[in-house]
Parts: sequence; C-alpha cells; structure tokens
Amino acid sequence: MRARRLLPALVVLGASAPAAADLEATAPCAEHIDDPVTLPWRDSGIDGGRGGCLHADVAVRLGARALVDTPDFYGTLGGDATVQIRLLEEWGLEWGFSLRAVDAVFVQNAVLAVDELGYGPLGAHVAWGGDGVLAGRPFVRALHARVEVPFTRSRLDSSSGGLLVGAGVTWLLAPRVRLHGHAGALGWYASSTSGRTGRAAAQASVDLTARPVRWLALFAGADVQAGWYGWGLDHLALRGGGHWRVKGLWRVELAAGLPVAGAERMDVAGVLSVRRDLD
Amino acid sequence: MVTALGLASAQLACQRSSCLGGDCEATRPCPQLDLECAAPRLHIGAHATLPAELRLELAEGSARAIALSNGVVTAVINELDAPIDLAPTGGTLIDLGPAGGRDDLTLSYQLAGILPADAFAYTELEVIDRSPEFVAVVVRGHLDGRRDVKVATRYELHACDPGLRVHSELWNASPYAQAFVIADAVHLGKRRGVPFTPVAGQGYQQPELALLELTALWSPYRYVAAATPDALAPSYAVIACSQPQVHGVADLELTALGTDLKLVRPGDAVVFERFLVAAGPGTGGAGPAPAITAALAARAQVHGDRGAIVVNGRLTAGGLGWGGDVRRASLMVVAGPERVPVAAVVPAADGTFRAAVPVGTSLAYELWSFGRQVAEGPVAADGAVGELAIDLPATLQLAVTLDDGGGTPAPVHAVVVVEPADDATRAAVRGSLHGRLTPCAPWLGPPDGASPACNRVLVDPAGTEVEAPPGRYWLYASAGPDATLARVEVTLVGGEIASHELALTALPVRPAGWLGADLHVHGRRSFDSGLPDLDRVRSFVAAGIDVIAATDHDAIGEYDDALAALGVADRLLVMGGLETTQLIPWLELPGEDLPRVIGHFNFWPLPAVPGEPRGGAPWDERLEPGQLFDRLGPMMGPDGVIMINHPWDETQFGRDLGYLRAIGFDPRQGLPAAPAAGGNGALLRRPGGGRQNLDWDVMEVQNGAGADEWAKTRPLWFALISAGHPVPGVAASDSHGLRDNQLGWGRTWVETGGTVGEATAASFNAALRAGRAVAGTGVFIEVAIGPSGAPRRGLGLEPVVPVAGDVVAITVRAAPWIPVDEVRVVTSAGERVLVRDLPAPADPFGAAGVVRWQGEVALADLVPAGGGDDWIVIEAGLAPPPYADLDGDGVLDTGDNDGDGDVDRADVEDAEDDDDVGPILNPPDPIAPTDRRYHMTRVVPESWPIGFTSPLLVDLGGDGWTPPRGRR
Repeated sequence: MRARRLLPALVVLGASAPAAADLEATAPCAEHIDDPVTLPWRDSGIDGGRGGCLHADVAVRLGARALVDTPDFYGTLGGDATVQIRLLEEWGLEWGFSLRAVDAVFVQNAVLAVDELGYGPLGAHVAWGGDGVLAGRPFVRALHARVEVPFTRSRLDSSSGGLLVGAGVTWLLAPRVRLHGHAGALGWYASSTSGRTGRAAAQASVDLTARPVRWLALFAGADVQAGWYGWGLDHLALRGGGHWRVKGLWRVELAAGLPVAGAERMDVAGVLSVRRDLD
Repeated sequence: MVTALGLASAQLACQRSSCLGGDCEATRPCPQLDLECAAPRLHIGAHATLPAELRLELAEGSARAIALSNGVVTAVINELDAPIDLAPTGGTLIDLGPAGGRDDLTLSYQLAGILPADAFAYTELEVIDRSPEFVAVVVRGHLDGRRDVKVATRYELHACDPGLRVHSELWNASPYAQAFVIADAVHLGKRRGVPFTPVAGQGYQQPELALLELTALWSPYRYVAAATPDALAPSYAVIACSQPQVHGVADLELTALGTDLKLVRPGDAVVFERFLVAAGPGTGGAGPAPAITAALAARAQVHGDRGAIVVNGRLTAGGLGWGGDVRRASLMVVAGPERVPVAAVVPAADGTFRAAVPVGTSLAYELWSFGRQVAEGPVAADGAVGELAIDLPATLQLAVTLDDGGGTPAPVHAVVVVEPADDATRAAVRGSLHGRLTPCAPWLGPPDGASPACNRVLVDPAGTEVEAPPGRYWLYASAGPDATLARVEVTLVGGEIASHELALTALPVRPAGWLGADLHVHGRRSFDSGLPDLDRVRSFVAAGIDVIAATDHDAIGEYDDALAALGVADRLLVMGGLETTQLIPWLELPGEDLPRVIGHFNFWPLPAVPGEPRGGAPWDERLEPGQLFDRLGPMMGPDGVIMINHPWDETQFGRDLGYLRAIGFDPRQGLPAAPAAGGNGALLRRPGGGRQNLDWDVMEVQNGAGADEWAKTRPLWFALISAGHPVPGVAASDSHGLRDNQLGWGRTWVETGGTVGEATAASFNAALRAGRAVAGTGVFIEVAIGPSGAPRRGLGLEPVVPVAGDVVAITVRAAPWIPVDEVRVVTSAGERVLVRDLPAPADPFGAAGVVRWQGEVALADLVPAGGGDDWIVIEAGLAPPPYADLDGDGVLDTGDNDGDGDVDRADVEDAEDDDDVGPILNPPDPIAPTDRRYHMTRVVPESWPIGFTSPLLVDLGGDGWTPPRGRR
C-alpha cells in the first residue's frame, strides 16, 4: 500500500520541480545519479540488476544483508566491501570487473555459530547499449552479462560460479524522472568433491528515479524473481534509496530492500557505495 | 567464461573421490595407516553370523545389523530401519570393542549440528568385502531435516587395524550457507565411560557441557580417549586423519568429536576422516592407556608425530604387585610444567603398568589409590618409573544376617554403608576418580559402577570382602525398610583384616499378602547406566524388594541370566519393561517458541525380543503419549501397566522429562470439555485415534527417595483425581546405579494377597491397577474402612459407599530408623493433619516401635454426608520440607535454599528474571548425628520419609462416583 502511494508522489515531485536550465536533462543517461542502485540478494552479489545506461566509473561498494529465522534457529549476517570498475568503449560497450575485497559472513545454526572473513569472488561484466524512443520519450537499453569467476570463493575444496544475462532499459518519463526496467536470467553452479549443483532463476525489476534537487536522486522500485528455490516465487521485494552527487565526479549511493512475498528468507539487504565517474 | 566453467567442472570430476558423487572406492580413510599382523582375518556380514570368538559381550546390535571384524576389533553397524536414540536411522556405529571382548559403546552417530534436523539420516547401505585387504560399510543419505544436504559415511576395517577407519562427508546442495560440523556424537553415558582429554587442566575433568556455550567449548584435541573405570572395560580413542586434530566437546552426558566449526556455503562439501580405536585391558593395565597407546601409534603414521615413549613401572603394596582395580591404583601421566594429563592407566593385577605418551617435555606421574592422590614423582627420560610402593589398605570382611522370626538368623543379601566416624577420617578418605565423578568418603570404588561403589557395598549371603583405606568408621547394614538397621563402629588398620557380621531383624512393617515393588529401575541397557546385571540383581534382593519392573531407556531388558546365576529367581518377580525416552524435540505447543518432547513413560510387562533392535522396543520419537499407548498396548497385553514418570521434572538439555510440565498442565483447572493442542486439553487428545494422552494406569508420584519430586507431583495427582482420572500413585527409585538413587527407595507396596512365589505379572499388575497400593520411602499405611467392629474393606479404587458409623482405621508402621512425625489426610477440600509430633522409637537400631500411630477417623468427618463425592489419600512421614509456589502456577517450585527458614525470592538462584523460580531440592542430609534423619540418610542419601496411599473414592449416594470437579 505504501509503495503505491510512494511512486506517484515521486513522479509528481520530480515533474513539478523547478525547471531551471541546469536541471534539465533531455537524455536518459545524462546524469549518473539517475541510475537505480543495484541491490543484490545473493551473497555473491551477482544477481543485482541494472538500468539501461552505460557508464564508466570506479566504486567501493559496501553491502550488508541479514536473515534471522528464529523459528528455524537460523540466522546469517553478511557484509562485504567490493571494488568495482566500469569502463566504456567509444563504440558503445561497457565492461568491467569487480573484486570482493572483504567478505564477512556470520552464520548461526542454533548454538553453532561461525564467522569467516575472506575475499572473493572476482566478477566480470560486459554490456552493450542502444537507444530509441517510446511514446515520444527517449530511452536507452543495454544487453549485459555478468559472471562470477569460479575458484575464487570457498575455503573448502569447492568452487562456484555464476552468470547473469539480461537486458536493462532506462526511459525518460520527465526531465527529472526516469523509469528503469530490467529482466534477466540467473544461473549458478557449484562443484565440490561430493557433487555438483546448480540453480537458475528468472528475474525482473522496475525502479523509478526522481531528482527533486539537482544533486540528489531518490528511487523506489520492486524486483521479482522465480525459480531459485524451486518452482515458485522466490521473492517480490521492495526497495528504495538515494543517489547523491557529492561533489564533482564523486557520488554516493544508498539503498535498502526487503522481500514482501515469496520463499526468500533474507530479511533485509542494503548497500552503500562511493563512486567516481570516469566518463 | 563458459569454457572456464566447463574446465572447472571437468577438473573436479577427474579428481572426485567421494561416496556421494564420485568414486567411493577412492575414498580410503586414513590411507597413511599401514599396520601388519601375523594372521589377518576379516569378516563382514549379519551380526547373527559373526563367529562366537569375534563377538562382543554386551553388544546391542540386532541380528540383522552388519558386523565387521578383523580378529582385533569388532564393530557393528545397525541396520537402516533401526533408529536409536537421537539417530533418526540406522547406519550408525552401535557396538565397538576388542574382538571377543566387551562392548562399552552405547551409540556413535554422526551429526552436523545440535538440531534434530542436523542428524545424519541414512537411506542406503552398501556392504563391501575386499578381503583380505579390508571390509567396509557405506551408508548414504541426507540430514534428517534438510534433504538437500547430502551425507555419506564409510566405515572401513583393515586386516590389522586396532580400530575402525571412518570417512564422513557432507555436501550442502541447499541454497543457504550453514554453520556445520561433522562429528561423531557418543553417549558415553554419564555413569559409564569417562572421557580423557590431553589438555592442561583436563585429563578426566572437562568443562561441563552447556549447549548455549557450545561454540566456545568446541575445542581441538590431538586425541581423545575414554574408558569406564572398570578393570574389564575396553578403552576407546579417536584421532583425526583428515585434519591435524579432532575438534569437539567431551562430556559425561554427550561427547561430540569431529571437524572444527565450518562455514559451509551452498555447494560446499566437508570431509572428515578419523580412526576410532578400541582396545581391551592388557598386560600393561587398563583405563584409557591401551587405546591411547594405539592412537599415538596411529598419529605417528598419519600425522608424522614423533612417536611415543612408554611410561612403565611396577606398583607394589606390602611387597607384592598391586593393581588390577581402579580402586587400588590409577596412574595419571602429566607432561611439562603445565602438568598436561597425557595418559592414565590402571596397573595390571601384578602391579605392572605401561602407558604410551607423546614424546615431548618432561613427564611426571600422579598415583591415586582409593580416590586420593598418594604419590607423585618424575618419569625418567626413557619412560621408566621404576617400582612404586604404597601402603596396603585394610581388608574388610562383611556378612549380614537376618532374623526373620524363625529363630536362626540367616545370612542375607544386604547393603553395607561405610561411613566415617570422625571428621579426621572423613577428610582423610574423601576421594574421587582423579577429581571426576561424585566424591565419596571413603571412595571404595567408582560411584556408578559395580560394588563397592562410593562408600556402599553389596554384601552376599556368603560374605563379601572389600578393601578400604584405614580410618575409624561406622558400618551401617540395611536390607530394606522391612528390617532393622544395624550399626557397628570399626577402626580399620592398613594391612589388617577386619571381619564384621551385622545382625538385622525382620520387622512387621507390611502385612502378609503385600509385595514391595520398584517399578522404575535402570541397568546397563540404559545409555546412562553402567551397572553390571549381577550387581543390579544383587541390589534388588539387598533392598528387600519382591517385584521389579526393568525399565531401561528405550530398550527392553530382562535379568534372567543374572537371576539364575545368583539363584534368586524364586525370590523376585522381574518384569521386562521399558522407559520411553524421547530425545528429538518435535511437539509444537501453543505459545511455545521451542518444540518439546513428551517426557518419560514406563511400560511393563514387555518381553525382550533377542536379536531385535532395542530388545524389541519400538522407536518412540515424535509420538504423543496416546500414540505410544496405542503402539505399546498390544505388546503388553491385558496385564500391561503404563506409568507417567516424574511428571513435573525439570528439562535436561532442552528435553522435557515430564509430560505434564511439557504441556503446561495447570492443576488449578480441571479438564476442559474438548481436547486442545496444549495445556490441560492436550490430555484429552487421541492423537492416534485410540487412547487419550492421559490414559496411563498409574502415576509416579514419588521419584527417588527425596521429597522434591513428590512435592511437585502431588498436586498434579490430586488435580487429576478430582478431574475424574483417579489412578494409583507409585513411588519408585529410578535407580541407575548403587549410589545415585537407592534401589527400592521409593517403593510401592501392592496387596496381591499372596507371596512373591505365588504372584504373577498379571496378578501383581491387576492389584496395582485396582489401587491396592501404598507407596513411599519406608512408611507403610494400613487402611481399613467400615463400621467399627465389623469386616472392613481396604484400599482400592472401587468406590466406597459409606454407611452411618463408618470409620477410616489407619495404622502407620515404619522401621524405627525411619522417622515418622505426622499423619495427614488429603481430600479435594485440602489437607488435614490428623496427628503430629509423634514420638520416635527409643532405639533407632532396635525392633520395637514399628507401629507409629493407630487411630480411627469417622468417614463422615472427612467426606461430609451433605457434600459431594470425594476422594481420600492418607499420608504419613515427616512434615513436608518448606517449599513454596513462587510463580503461582499451582506447583511447588522453590525450597529454602538459603536456609533462613522461609521460602522467598531470596531463595531463587539466578533471580534476575522475575519469572525465575527454584530450585526445589530435597533438604541436605544432616551432619548432626542427633538429627532424626541422620541414620536414614546414611543408608539412603537425600531421602525424606514419606508414605501415601492410593486414593479412596467415596461415593456418597451409591449412584456411582462423581469426581469433585464433576463428570466429564
């Protein structure tokens, strides 16, 4: 119910903001802070979607997630610091890497608790963009693939890898309002001495960003995923946050989300990033 | 990228040696072990086909279980459909011992965590015979509550190994990261094997297991050993092969040893390989040392340890070799300035001892005798200790006679308690097993083992000889509450023999036609008892008991062999039975965060079925009481009795021991009109469609000899009688050994009308169910109802229809050494003291004064004619200790723990939480010889004199008895 009220409010807020010339943006990707903030649910971070804009930047991204399942005597807390770089080729290709430099996990099964401080995985991505016009308004799109490179994670005699392929789109609804959509297919694979296993899911998301002031964009959205935990809805999750142009090329992202339906046991996830534009 | 994934997969597939997803033959546990022997001999097959010379004495595996033996050790893996204890399936190690020797392992099963969901549950079993190299059993399955976490275990026995190589693996195919271990959980039994850990400050003394602190307690050990302190018991040890050390906790209740705690992400696998050693006592002595010796040899091969040196020497006393019994001597070898215990050995009968210990820092020995350290000294660099000499103890020759009125005292079975007669002796002889287990003064033997145990001796009619440290003692002799108590003061001198015969006299405490019964008794078939069958049966007759219900935890057992061996089969009626002991929490109750179990119930008679798992007992987990009753009813037949045990006992490790406490029964309320999931309504449920959850035949109102369980249970019993569920009340010992709860205290006298020789299980149980029973701790209450001078009826659940002039005639009898202070009558209207401050017999050791009170009360005074139907229970004994119900739930919960004469919040331990109450304990045993409980508590520690009758139902109108709370 709250989400239904929030989205129109953001649209109205953005559309009715002062029409100062420096706030005008006629291109969907003119300002980086109009991008939605990626918010993954899997602890490897591979499942985060994206918008249609291609950018070049470097970032340090702090992620956190929590699952507290009291009836099942289970809980897990995760935190990570990931270094990311995205580079943009002149001919419309974005590519980059990410390295989880700090990976902290705490898991508790009843009274057995274990924490681990490590690193990994190493990720790589590539995205190819394009643009168009819909209903008289411009949009941009990106086909992308992201891979979690095997042999970079577990301390045990195991390896895992993941792959996300999808498409993102960013549509300019109003000078300071953008609608972002994403659809993708997620795959994950793990192998150990005892066996191999894999999981796959289909995911889609939609986010609306609005910039009430020149240096701050707020966003709200929802994402849905199915198939990861079996035949059925994994989650319908709501998320929201802000994207702040701090100074010059520097910006800060903050977002949080929580599942509201489905099999997902994670209670909440959040992210805080510091980015510097390179393009 | 895809290529990378493919390469990764291919690489792992080529390397995979796994019993889950790869080549199980390639998973040879502990491959570095390479032992040779002269005549390799391997056997694998059904347990029933195991050659006799390879079998294990006291083995529990069924006929269909899989036995592996190499002539050195024998192991038994139980069949998949034979779950035991917390193991939800078979495929677990149920027996292990030196081939042809004794099994002292209750069960070893694998787990990944403490939740029931984390127990390994096996669904496939494969037998592999690769003789003459090895034989193996492979079991595969999943975690019991997580089907997407796959598990497998391979038990492999090589031709010359002194133990079993075990490979377990776990594969997390779930989408969640988990905190897991792979560990073998072993109930060494808190009264059986004693763990030994080579850690500073430990040895026999590990930190107490607290589940909430498990992560902090999970510790690494180079090896862990265990042995029951018994000269004939095998010893066990474990080393890790796939990691430098074995991790876990070692506790008397539960030992769990395996990997360290691991973060197991989705797709991860964990492997744990270990070597489980079993060794019999040998020429170098007993105790943990034989297994430690083998474990250190294995570590040298597996981990390249520098090997071991053998600490050796000879112990003498009086110039002769001295040993063969942990009572006489036990050596602990300690290493380095921290005095890390590294081995313990009980010298052999000729005094020689050998104990391998790791090569390392300087060594020293500590020599213990009769539970006290008597010497210490250095060990030479080559391990030699030389000859050690200690003083001889005194030898005590004991005999007890009983004059049963026939004119000639006859030797009998009896219990003799050796009690220090002065403080100096008490201080000088107080001992323990290297600081472990209950301390005793004097420590004549391990308190949970065979006689002599603690300071107690079972004396046979032919006489019994025991050794004891010098000192001045009182010897108390008892043959139960139907006889006098004898006492003699002795001064024991080391090296000298003292012979004493103590004379008892039979007392007319119970009338003819009444049999004394202990209906809750454990022996070595229970995971938490290590008492040999012979001593268990000796304790039956020594307590003057006529009828026994053998009610081991989750196993049906009988004592036919021991009864025959002792020649007492005609003196006892022993009924096979069972105490169902749920361990897997599962019962969801409204308002409760944690699942519960249903507590304990006794069932008898049940015949043991040789060759079947658990002696033929059904697996009792995840069943409500009514389902259990439905399942066991047909097995018992029409003569069967179901007893609810210690209904309000505290939980232990999160497991409910009492059903009424588990469901939150409220004695202030009646039974509702309709069943409910929890509370009083749960009693009305018929979970299996047959019997209700309250369809037990008798209630254990007194568990043990103390007042605490009785005081808690009494209002529950009364409430259910008032609610229309009148059943006889029982007192039983719940004895697991010779020192914990005394056999026969409490006991239930049942009026069968004949002698024990004339009684059958059917006649006894019929009389019990009919309510012709008096129970307690030695206080007998005879009741007769009717008009004065006319024939009267006695106890029984058949309602009394009073006529004018009816009286309740009461006679209270007790041996003079059992104090009786008052007589009470209880009805639904409350409790009334008929008489108090009764005089004590002049001589507590004499035979006079058995009748403590005799009187009549008009029945109309107890149940007024104008009122409704009611019930009557007569009680006698000492006034109940000061207990209070601080949380107001209708059940007493707290005693006078600070000894200030009242019970209030100051008596509550850990009173930070307003909801906290308790504990409620039996008052401590008096230390002043003038105290009226002094003599009784020498013989029956922690006892309180109590007697209570079964309820009498009074039907005023003769129209059928209506419970005070109305008909349901």
